[in-house]
Amino acid sequence: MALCGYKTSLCGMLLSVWGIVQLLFMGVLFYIESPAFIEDLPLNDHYDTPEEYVTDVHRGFKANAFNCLIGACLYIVTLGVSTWQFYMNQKTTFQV
Amino acid sequence: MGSLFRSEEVALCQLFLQSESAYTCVSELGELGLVQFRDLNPDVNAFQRKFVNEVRRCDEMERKLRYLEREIRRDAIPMQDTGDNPEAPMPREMIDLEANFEKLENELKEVNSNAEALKRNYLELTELRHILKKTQVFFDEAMYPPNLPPDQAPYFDDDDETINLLTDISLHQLKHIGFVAGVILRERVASFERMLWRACRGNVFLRQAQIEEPLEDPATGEQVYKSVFIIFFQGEQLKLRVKKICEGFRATMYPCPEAPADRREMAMGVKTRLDDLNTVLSQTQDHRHRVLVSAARNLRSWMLKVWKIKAIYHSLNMFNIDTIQNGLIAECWIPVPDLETVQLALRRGTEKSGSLPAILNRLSCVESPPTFHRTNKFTRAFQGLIDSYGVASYREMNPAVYTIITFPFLFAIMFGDLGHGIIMTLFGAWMVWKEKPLSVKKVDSEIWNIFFGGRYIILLMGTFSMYTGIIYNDVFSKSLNLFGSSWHVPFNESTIRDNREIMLDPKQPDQYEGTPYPIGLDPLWQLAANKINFLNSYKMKISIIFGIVHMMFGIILSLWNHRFFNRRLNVLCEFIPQVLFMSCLFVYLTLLVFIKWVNYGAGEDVPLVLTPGCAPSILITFINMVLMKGYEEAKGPNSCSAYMYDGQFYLQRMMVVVAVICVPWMLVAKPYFLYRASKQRAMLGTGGVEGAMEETPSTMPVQPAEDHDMSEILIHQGIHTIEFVLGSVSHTASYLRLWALSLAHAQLSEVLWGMVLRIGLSTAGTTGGFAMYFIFAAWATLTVVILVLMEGLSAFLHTLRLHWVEFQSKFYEGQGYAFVPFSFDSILEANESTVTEAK
Repeated sequence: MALCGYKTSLCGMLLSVWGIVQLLFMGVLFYIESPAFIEDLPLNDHYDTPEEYVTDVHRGFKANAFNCLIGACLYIVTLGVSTWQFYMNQKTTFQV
Repeated sequence: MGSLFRSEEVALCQLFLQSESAYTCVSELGELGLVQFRDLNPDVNAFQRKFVNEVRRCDEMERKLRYLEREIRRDAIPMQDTGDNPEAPMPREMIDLEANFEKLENELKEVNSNAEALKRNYLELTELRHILKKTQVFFDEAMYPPNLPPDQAPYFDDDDETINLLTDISLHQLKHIGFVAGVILRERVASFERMLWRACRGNVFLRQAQIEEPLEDPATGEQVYKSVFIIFFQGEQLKLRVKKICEGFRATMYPCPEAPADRREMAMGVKTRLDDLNTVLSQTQDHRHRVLVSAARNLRSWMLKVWKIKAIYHSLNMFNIDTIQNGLIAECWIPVPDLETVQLALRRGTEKSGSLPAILNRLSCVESPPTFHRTNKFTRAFQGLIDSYGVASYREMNPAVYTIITFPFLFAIMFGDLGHGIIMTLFGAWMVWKEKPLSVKKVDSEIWNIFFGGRYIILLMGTFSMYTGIIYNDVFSKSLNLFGSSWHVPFNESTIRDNREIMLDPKQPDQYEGTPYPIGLDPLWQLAANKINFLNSYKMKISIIFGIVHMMFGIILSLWNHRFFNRRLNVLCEFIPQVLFMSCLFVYLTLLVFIKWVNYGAGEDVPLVLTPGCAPSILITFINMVLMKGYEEAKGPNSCSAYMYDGQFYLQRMMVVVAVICVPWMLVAKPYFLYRASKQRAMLGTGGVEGAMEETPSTMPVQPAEDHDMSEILIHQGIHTIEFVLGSVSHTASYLRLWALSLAHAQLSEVLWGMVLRIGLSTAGTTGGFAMYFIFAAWATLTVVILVLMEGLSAFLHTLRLHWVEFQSKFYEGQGYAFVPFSFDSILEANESTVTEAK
């Protein structure tokens, strides 16, 4: 039961593997608050006190970490689906 | 000795072959693939050559095989490629092959024509069956009309009146009505009806019914829809007219008996005949299938054999006939290290045919031989890059060897990103790992073939890009902090809050540790606002340094060329002034860069003169040097000096003078020496090659007498000098593209992250995860398409240009022609590709 073709499932597999690796890596880095990602945090334009700013920074890091890990999990699902589709397509070509 | 350093020595040889052994010897040489035959009959028409009959027979066999292949393909029978390489068969086997092919072709043709005739018969019978079935309905209506009042419409449309008409007529009168039954294409029915109406003035009556299932047209094999019709008329005139119209519309008419009993009998007869035909037809198809299957097994090896025979006869056509000794004379180019191998092959060939051995003679030649580089699957791609610009002149230095490393390296300087490098390396590594299965698959896509042919180049480019990515500390526009940054921020909260921007001072030990980051760029630069300022200076300087190193290397390679060809004059009059010129100006420039990097610094104990604020601009220094500006005094004991080391002013002056002297040296020295040499020769009264030339080794092509037209020499030298001098400046600046492309790549990468991935990272809340999922996919696609593919292609092109123009113009001639040996492998490959293209 092939939902998508051979090439689509292959692309899906490669993208998913890349997504899992990179998003896991990014998730871990966000969790340990790596300063390289300081510009990627969801922050407001203006803060009244530095304590607010620091709290927001910590919250932003955690939030992004979890977002990346959720994305990684979704890519695990996509990897599963793509691999299944890939093998479905392989079987049909052998039958022909 | 064969190597990639310079092309191999190729000798012109003469081959004496006995007539009996010529065929086998050429076959052996073809398998070997090391000999390039020269055409000794260039002005002979193709139809006047000796072996034209054999070539014609081969063409005929090829045609038959192609016909067989078409039929096999039509039946969708798989043709296996066993991968074996059959040897070219002997001439007497060729006759057997021919007979075999002839038999197969005739059999197939017969089967096909029989099948066609049977199918036509089948079609007629089927149509007749349909007619008999449908006309039954027509006649039934005529004889026994449905009991309907005239005003109520029956289920047939416009036949009210006609039904009534027929009911009024008695049986006796029915006998005068003639009819014609037939079958016509459905599309033509409407116009057919109209034509009948007009031509017969409405005095004929047409009934038609569609045949539900499509019928197979025997000629084309496609399915068509037809309709049955029956036309009633009265009188001979109308009959003739109706018949003519039917013929005009290509309707097939069938004799249909009137009486129902006859029709029933006919129907049964037709049915039995149809059944018989079906069996015969299926048996014919089986037979055809069996014939094709047995042919398909051997088709490929037959094709290879025929191609080989044809290639051998084409080569034999290039030979001269020696009628005295009943043999053939061939002239060929053979690489000198392979002479032994060729002798062995010839001996094998003569043994096979059992005649006198062949004789191989070496000749001396005037024209220059072809250029032969012995490459393997790795070096072939790089050699191809160089050969695309121009094939190296005979025995010239081969730039391809160095290209193996310099090409990926210069590419990587422009592409430097660890993430993109990983993607490229993985792609290249997959292609190299799966080399064997991928090369066997014959893919039509040109783009794939280009990528696959360059798999080693891609692998190397990716690996080097990973290295430069580590040096530039750039992974998808983010930096990796593996060893701890050397910069620290010691400021307190109020300082940070009150200042928009703070510049970290490297002189303070609490801000800068004093020792730099071990490998590559410090990760803090990624977040610095003045990153571009620093990187520009750094990348421009290294671009110039690499450029000048590359160009000096090219000039030094020319020394090897001059020494090999014994061009002492060129060494004296071209090489030395070129090196001096480049060194005094541009190598000195790189030296200044290094001095500035080493001496000037921003540490704690650095004297004022060596602080970064006092570092003289190299560009200004260079301009002042070339313009011969006066000595610049220091403004006081504790102020900055315009000079980096003692004696710089006088050294620079001297260098400019030397460089300026080099220009007329390059321009005038060589023409002067040539002029003097020609005068000496004229005085001695002997023409010829001795004199200015030293003794040439026997393998060197004998140089023809020099063209002693002084004006031409002067012009040539002038062009050469101007090209070099102006080129030195422009080529040096051209290497700045290494900086420009790497800057563009880094910025694109940053923009892609900031504009695409940051959207996913900035969405707050629970939807953030799903946003990351989709946006990552978009970011990954754009990365591959724009940054890897487009930027990769762009950097590849620029690197190629740097090699072809800036590097090779210093030493490369590229006026040779390639050595194309007579090899069955390349011929078969060429034939295969034409076959796949034609499909």
